[in-house]
Amino acid sequence: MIKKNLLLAEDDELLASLLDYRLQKGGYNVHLAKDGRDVKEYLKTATPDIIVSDIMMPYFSGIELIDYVRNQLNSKIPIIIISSAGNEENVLSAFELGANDFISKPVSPSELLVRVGRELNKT
Amino acid sequence: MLISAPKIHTDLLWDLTILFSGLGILFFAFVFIFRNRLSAKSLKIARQKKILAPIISNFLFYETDATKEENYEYIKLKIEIRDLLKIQFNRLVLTEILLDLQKDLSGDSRNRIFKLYQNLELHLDAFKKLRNWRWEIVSKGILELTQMRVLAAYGFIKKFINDKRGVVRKQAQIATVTLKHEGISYFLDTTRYGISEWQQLKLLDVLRNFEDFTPPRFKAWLTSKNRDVVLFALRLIKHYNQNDANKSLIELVKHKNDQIKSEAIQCIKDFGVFEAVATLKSVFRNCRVDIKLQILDTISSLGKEEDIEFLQTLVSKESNFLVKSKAISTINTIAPETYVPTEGIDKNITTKSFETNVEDNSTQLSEVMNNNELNKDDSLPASDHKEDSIDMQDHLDPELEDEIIFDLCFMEELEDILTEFNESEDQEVNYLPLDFLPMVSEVEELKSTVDPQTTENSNVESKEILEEESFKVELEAILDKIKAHDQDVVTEDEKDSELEFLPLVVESNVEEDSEDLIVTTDEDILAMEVKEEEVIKEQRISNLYNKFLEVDWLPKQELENSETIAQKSIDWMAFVNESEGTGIMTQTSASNTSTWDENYTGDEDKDDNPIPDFYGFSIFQELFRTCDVESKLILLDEILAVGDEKEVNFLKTLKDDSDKKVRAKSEIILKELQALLSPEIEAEESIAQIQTNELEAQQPNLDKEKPESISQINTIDVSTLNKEEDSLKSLEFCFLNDLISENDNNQMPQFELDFELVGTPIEDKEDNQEINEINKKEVNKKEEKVLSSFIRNIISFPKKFK
Repeated sequence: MIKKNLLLAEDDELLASLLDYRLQKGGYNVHLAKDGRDVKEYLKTATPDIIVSDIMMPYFSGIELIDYVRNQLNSKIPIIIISSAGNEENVLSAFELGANDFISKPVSPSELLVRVGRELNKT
Repeated sequence: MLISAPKIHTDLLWDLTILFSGLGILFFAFVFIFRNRLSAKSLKIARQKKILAPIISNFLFYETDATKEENYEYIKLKIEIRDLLKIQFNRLVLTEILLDLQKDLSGDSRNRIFKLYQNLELHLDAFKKLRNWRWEIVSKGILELTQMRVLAAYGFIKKFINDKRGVVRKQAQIATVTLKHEGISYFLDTTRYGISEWQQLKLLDVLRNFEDFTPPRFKAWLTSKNRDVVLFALRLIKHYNQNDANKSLIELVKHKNDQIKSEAIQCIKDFGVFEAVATLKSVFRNCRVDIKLQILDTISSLGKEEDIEFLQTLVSKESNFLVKSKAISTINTIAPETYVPTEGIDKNITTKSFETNVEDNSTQLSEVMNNNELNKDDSLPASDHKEDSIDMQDHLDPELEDEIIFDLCFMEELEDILTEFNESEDQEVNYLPLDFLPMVSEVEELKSTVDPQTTENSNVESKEILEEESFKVELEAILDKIKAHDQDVVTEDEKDSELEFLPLVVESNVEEDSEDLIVTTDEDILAMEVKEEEVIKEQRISNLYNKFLEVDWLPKQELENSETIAQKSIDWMAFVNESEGTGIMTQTSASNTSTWDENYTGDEDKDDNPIPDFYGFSIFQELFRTCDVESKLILLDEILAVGDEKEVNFLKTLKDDSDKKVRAKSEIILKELQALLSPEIEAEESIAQIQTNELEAQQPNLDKEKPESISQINTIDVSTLNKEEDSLKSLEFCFLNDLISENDNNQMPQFELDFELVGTPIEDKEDNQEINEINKKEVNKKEEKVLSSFIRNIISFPKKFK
C-alpha cells in the first residue's frame, strides 16, 4: 500500500515530533517543516498529498502558505490548519483563502489523524 | 589672585583607570560566561528534548495490541529511560517535555502524559520542591503537581492555603480547588486570608472547567466571618443559581460591607425574592448612591403597586438626580405611564381626542336619536342606534373620517340650497313649484288604480307602477299642504279628520266625509293603504333623519341644535319628496307596498312647518375647534379659497380668538373674503330675483289650477304643469329631485347620500340629461352674464367627492 505524503508545518519541535510520530504510525509519509521557508523549499521540489500547517509560524504564516498554494501554485492540495483557541479571525481568513479544515490547540493527535484521512478520502 | 588647579596624583588616576577597566572586563566576562552557560544549557536541553521526545511519543502512543517489534521497542525504551532518569538533568528535561506537551495535547494523549509523569516518578521531584525554603521553588512545585494532576499531592498542598507567603498561598488555593472537587469546600472553610478579585475569578474559572462537578450549597459560607468568603460564596450562589438562601440574602442586605450588600441585592433580584422588598426599602436611606440605584432597580423588578408610595416619596424628597430619575423609572415600570414626559412640552396645547369627541357626540346623538325614535317609531329599538354609534366609534378609521367630512360638506351644501329656497319661499308662501313634476299620463294613472283587494293578491307588478303609486301618495300630501296653506289655519282635530295624509283616490270617495271612508270596506282598505304609504313616507323621513343624525361629529353647541336642524331638513326633504310626485294627479291605490305596520301612528303634525328655516354654519367652525394654531392658519387660507357667506360670519367670531396670529389673520382673510364675495352675492341676488319674477309670472296659472277641493285636485291637468317645467325648474330643485328620485327609484331603505352623489344610476341618466338641458337653457336664457359661486358649487358638488 502506497503511503500518502503529508507535509507537517509546525514550529513547536516537541509537538511536531509527537504529531510526526502519530501520523507516521497512522500510515503517512510525514515531512516536517519548522517554518514557512522550509515549506516553500519543500513545495518547490515536491507535491504532498495533504498539508497540515500551524497558523502562527516564523517567516511564513499558515495564511500565507494557503495563499501561496492556492494562488501561486494553483494547487488544490487539501490543507488542514492548526490554530490556537480564540484565533477565530485567522481561521476565517484561512477558510476564505481555501483551507479545507482546521483543528484547534490543544490538539488531539487521534482527531488530527481522522481529519487527515477524511480530507484525503474526499480527493 | 590667581586660582591654581589642585594637584592630582597621576598614579592615583592610573590606579582608578585600571580598576574600572578591570570591573568592566569582569562584568562583560560574567555576562559572556553566564550567557554562554545559559545558551549551552538551552542547547543541551533542546538536544536532550530531541532525544527524549521520540521516547515520550513511543510511550504515549504505545498500545497493548502492538506487534512484537513494537513491544520490544517499548521495553527497550523503558530500560533506556530508566537509565536516563538517574541523571537529574534528564529528569528536569523530561519534566519540561511533559509539562509542555500537556498544554498542547488534549484528550487521551493528555491523560497518558499524566500517567507517564507519575510512572516515571517525576512527581517526587515536585514534592521535594515543596519542602524548599524558597517560595518560588515551592510555588513551582505546587504548580507542577497541579498541572500534572497529582492527586496524592492534595494533602500536602492544602496546608499551604493559609501560608503567609502570598504567591505560595494563592498557588495552594488554586491547587486545592483544582485537584479535588471537595477542595472548594475545604478552601472556603479554612481560608483566613482575603481572597482577591483576581483570585476569585481564577477559582471560578477552575470550577467552571470541572467536568461532572456538583457544587456544594454555598449558603453555608454566608455565615463565614471572612467577608471575602461571604462575598465569594454570594458570587458562587449567583453563578450556580442556588436560590435556597433567601433569608440569608435578605439579612445580607443589611451588611455593613457595600460589596456584600450589592451582591446580595443582585442575588435577590436574580432570584426574585419578593419578600426582600421591605428590607430593601428600610436600608435604602443609609446606602450609597450606587447601592440605592441597585435597590431601585430591584424594586422595579420585584415591586408592586403598594411600593409606589415609597417611590413617590423618594421622587419628592430625594436630592440626587440619578436616584430621583431611577425612582421615576421604577414607578413607571411598576405602573406604566404614571409619570409622563413634562420637559419641553408646550403646556398651552390641549389635545382633545377626536375619538373622544366622536364618542361624546355619537353618544349624545344616539340619545337624541333614540328619544326621537321612541317617540316616532316604536318598531325600531333604541339600542340599535346605540350599537351603531358604538360600532362607529370602534371602527373609526380615516375612511370614516372622510365620510364624516363628506357628510359635513353635504350638510353645508344642502343647507345652502334649502336656505336659498327658503328665501324665495318666504316671498311666495302660497306658491307651489310644480315645475319638477314627472311627466306621467292619466292613462297610466288609471291603469295603476286597481281594486285594493286585487292589489292585495297580486302584490307588486312592476317597478314603474310602484314609483307612480308612490308619487300619487306624495302628490296627495303636497296637495294637502296646498290646501292647508289656502285654509291657513287648521285645528288639530280637524287635521286628524281631514286625512291630509290620505290619498285623493276615487272621485266618489273624495266627496265623502272621512267617517264614511272608515265605514266602507273598500275605503277602509284604501285608508289602510294610504296609511301604508304614510308608513313608507315616515320610514323615508326616519331614514333621512337617521342619516342626518349620523353626523355625530357636531360640536356640543351644534348638537343641541342638531335635532332641530335634522328635523327641519327632514321636513324640507319630505316636502320636496311629496312635491315630486304631483305629475300623476290621480287617485292613489298604493297597493304596492309590502310592509304594513298596524301599530303605526303617523305624525300628523309633521307638515305643519311647510317651509323650514335653515341657518348655515361653517364647516371650518368644527375644524377650528380641534386643531392647533398652525392648522388654524392653514385653514384660514382655505377659507379664503373656498369660503362663502357662512365663513364670513365665522371669521367674525374669530376676532375674539385667543391666539394673536389667528386673530390677525382672520381679520385679513375676512376682508379679502368679503371682497371676493361681494360679486357673488350680487349674482345670487340677481338669480333669486329672476326666479322670483318667473315664479310670480306663473302664479296666476297656478292659482287657476290650484284646487279648491280634492276633486278638483284630481282633475288638474298634468300637461299644464309640465309645460312650466322647463322654465321653472331651478337648479336647487334639480339637485334635490335627483337625490330623492334616485332614492325612490332604487327603493333604498336609507338615504345613501354618499352613494347618490358619487354615482348616478343608469336609469336616471336620461332625467339628469334633461335636467342639465333645462339648466343650460336657464343659464343661457337668463343668467348668461352672471355665474354665481353658488351654482358652480352645486354643479361641481358631486365631482368634489369623486
